[in-house]
Amino acid sequence: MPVFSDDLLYSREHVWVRVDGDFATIGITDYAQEKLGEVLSVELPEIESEIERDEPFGNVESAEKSLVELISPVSGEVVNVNEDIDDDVGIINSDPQDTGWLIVVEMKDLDELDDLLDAKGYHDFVLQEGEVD
Amino acid sequence: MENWRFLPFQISNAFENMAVDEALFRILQERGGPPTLRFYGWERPALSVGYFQNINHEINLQRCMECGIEMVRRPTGGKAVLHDRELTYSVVSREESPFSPDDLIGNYQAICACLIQGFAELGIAVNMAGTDYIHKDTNIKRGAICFASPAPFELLARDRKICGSAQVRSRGCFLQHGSVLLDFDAETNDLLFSCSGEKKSGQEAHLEARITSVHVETGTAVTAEMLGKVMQRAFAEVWNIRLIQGKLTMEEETLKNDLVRNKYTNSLWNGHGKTA
Repeated sequence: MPVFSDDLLYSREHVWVRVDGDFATIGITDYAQEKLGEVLSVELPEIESEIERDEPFGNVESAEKSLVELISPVSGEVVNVNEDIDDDVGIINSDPQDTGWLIVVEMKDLDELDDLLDAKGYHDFVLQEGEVD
Repeated sequence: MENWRFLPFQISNAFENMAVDEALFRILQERGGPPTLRFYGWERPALSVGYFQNINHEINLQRCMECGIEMVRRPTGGKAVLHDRELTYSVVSREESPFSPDDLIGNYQAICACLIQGFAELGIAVNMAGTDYIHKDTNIKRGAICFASPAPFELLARDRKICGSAQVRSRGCFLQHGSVLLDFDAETNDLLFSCSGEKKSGQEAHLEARITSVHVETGTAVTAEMLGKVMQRAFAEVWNIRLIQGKLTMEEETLKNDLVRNKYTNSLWNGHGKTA
């Protein structure tokens, strides 16, 4: 049963956001990592690169030979990348909504957050996909 | 009955083949449209490598050049495939479909069901590996070669891999392409994946024990075009879809040409997975 955290916002592309002022920490949702299976490789943007809402900012490859593009929920400059993933990519599976975070973005437009879902909204969204109880 | 576009068997070079698949995938994401089933072949033997694959460590590039084998990096995951005496298929669709749950395993399984039916028509009993599939031969160097890499949901005939597939997923759509072996040349595969200056990796016997082909299973020579027609029927029957023969739209053609020029013939992309 995937975890839906009340302190996170969620995109319909299965990415979560933790907001702290102008900064957004971003990762893949517990639901998404369950669906993806064992993560083997991750490609993330470099610090100081610009990312755009609704555009890919990285890729994840699973053991099932599937590559999934990560779609950004916000626009802004990447100010931090989780280096712990280089040492242990498994934390994306084991702790996706905390230590398995991917990047931190300094957001350009906080209004973009309005399009994101809260935990209940995201739970309902994936329910519509018929995948969770 | 759902309408699908069908792109009949066509032979192109490695760069065009990958560019067509990606153009179909990107335009479906951006503009929508019918899903597509495509079968294709390769003008000359070519090696496709997975998106994340480190070719310098896993592929004998010198040997590829000497053999005149083109190399192209796929937009999908997985490991290297030598496209020679095989049929390549691609399915480009929205994740949600009447045939399967809209997740990667569901999509894999739905496509496998069609391929299994096609193999059955040829008299080949094929089954899908379970989620805990690990081949009993543990001596195989699994790193580089798709067909030597055991994974769940692989298609197996007599416990030997006969088809390898990989996906990319984005914005509610997926591209899955895969290679069905008409025949398998363990010696050439062994040479191409032998690194560190060695002439052969010594995996030839192991590869032969792990991998099979339509030719080995049926004892007859089946062409890629013939196999494509068998698989075409199987997709239509299993999914109960209407396959309407089509071609690339103008927009897809333009994007394909752009992808050939800027991505799939770009040595940065093929070498390192970057276009700039």
